[in-house]
Amino acid sequence: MNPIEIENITKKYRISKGFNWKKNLKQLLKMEKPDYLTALNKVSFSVKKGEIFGILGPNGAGKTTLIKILAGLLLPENGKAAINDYDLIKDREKVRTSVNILMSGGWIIFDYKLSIYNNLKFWGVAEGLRLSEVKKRIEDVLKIVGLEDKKDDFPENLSAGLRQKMNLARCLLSDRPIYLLDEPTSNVDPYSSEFIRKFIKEMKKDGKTVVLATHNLWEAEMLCDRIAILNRGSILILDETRAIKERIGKEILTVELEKITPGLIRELSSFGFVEKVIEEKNILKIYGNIKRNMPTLIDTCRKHTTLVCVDMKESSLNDVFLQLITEKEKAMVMK
Amino acid sequence: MKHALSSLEKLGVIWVYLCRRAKLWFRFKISFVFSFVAMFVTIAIFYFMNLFVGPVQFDYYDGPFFTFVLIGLAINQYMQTTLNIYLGTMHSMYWSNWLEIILTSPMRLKTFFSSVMTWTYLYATMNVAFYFIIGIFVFGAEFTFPATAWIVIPILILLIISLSGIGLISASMFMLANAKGDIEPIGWGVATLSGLVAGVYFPPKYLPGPVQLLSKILPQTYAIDAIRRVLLNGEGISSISIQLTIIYLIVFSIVLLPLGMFMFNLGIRKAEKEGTLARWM
Repeated sequence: MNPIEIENITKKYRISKGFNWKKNLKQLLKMEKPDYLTALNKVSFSVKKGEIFGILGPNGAGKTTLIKILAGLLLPENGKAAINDYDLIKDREKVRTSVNILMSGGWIIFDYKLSIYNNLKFWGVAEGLRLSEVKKRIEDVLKIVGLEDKKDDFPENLSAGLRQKMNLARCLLSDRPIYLLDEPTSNVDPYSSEFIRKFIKEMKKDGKTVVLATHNLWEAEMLCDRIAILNRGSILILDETRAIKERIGKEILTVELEKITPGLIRELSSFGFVEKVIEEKNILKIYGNIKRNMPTLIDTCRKHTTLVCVDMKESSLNDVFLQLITEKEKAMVMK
Repeated sequence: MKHALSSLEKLGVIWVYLCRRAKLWFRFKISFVFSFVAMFVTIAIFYFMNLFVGPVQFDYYDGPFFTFVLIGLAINQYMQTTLNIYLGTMHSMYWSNWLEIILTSPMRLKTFFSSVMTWTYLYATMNVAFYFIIGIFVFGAEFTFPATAWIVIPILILLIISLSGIGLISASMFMLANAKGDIEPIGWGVATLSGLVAGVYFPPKYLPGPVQLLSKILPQTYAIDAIRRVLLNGEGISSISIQLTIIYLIVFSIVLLPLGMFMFNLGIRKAEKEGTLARWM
């Protein structure tokens, strides 16, 4: 069985718009239904052992809600899930101790007037480390995250990147099979972000199962074996990272021209291999099967005007993401 | 991967937590010194009030007003601690995101609360000892500490158990009624009323009739009275009023503690459903 199996998970939050005694009384007397926001809508997926599974989505997509449900910290309204073979509802305490959760800004649990060592010591014994072994374990994890020379420093004197490393060290005090990482590199400098990304790759090598919630698409593309793109609580697409790019990704030709005429756009759009042409000032973005038909496109442009610059690229996950989200938004507006 | 801690590991958690709190306590040196100054000033105020009002004759307690009130202040330490500890801990865990991390650790909430309680009651006991040391050695309060003084310990324990029920109900309001501010009506109401009606500073018999009735529904009224009877009058377990107090406190404990635990668990369940275990994540 896979370490993470979830099926039709639905989560709704009651919307609170401040205290309104009339509204509250009506809701209490069941005369009026409270307003709900659907944070997750029938979400299903499984994650294999040793896999890095990405959850991508804009702010408010439901990523953190999903991470908290996987950690057993939030109860879903509907659906079922097994984490590390434990039922999410019945064996909630075992689910919670099967996962290691790392949140961005999770370092606020540390006391600013205690040293890194003294902060970690409490969380070490809370994880079941004996007093005789906790010191060695803290030294080991601080070495792993590169804070071995800062164990007597205070969190208030650390940068955001170092604090996140300290948070990571807290996470590593216990050895658990599943890691749930919620935007682990958010607000962290590039150097520390790179360190954390390398570390996530190491986790995979050690056979850990990692769920990474992020809106850093480049990061997801670099790290994840599979990705689920989430928007307004629903999974828009779920597949291997490469497959998603192949399925939805496009080749884009960006052409800077001296001037753009309606005739040029009309002619370019008439080609069967061109999906769409977008005009931005004196730049044209041509989407479609570009690589094979590049000479035809360049010749067509030259026929109408002078070329200033040409650039061709395959769409990144970023482009795929934006395309998917935009299509979904458009569909909602149409409804 | 551990799902639960052994008893020895739980003791380890409590020990490390105590060391951690002690380090923090000493780290804030000004606060450390001023807390003792504040206690000293409180005792001094009641000492001089005692000189001002002169000897006071109570119907059923022996001794002057100063020793009478010193006992009230000491018990009040435990009362306020018990009424505030659960809500205070929930409050700090919520705002610092500790609650979610604790729930995902094999330590569990019970061991954490045990750690916090051990520290807080040690701290309260130290304050009480300070009250008595200053009261006796600086201001000359006279205590006989009779052979029956041991009975104070079970009375105090029963008082703490019954007030824990109210403390847990108060903490449950943090989640059930979204009382996320510093003050929650139930705990605050009982703590504030205690000063007026439970006999901390004066016997409840001086209160108007209906307010006296209010004092009868609070467990602390009985405990304060019984502890004074033991320490001032030298009464022991053979005294009917002491026996009745113990029975009352057992009844209060049997009713209030399970109710408090039930409501607290209900609150946690509600927070798990609503996603309000932590503030910031």
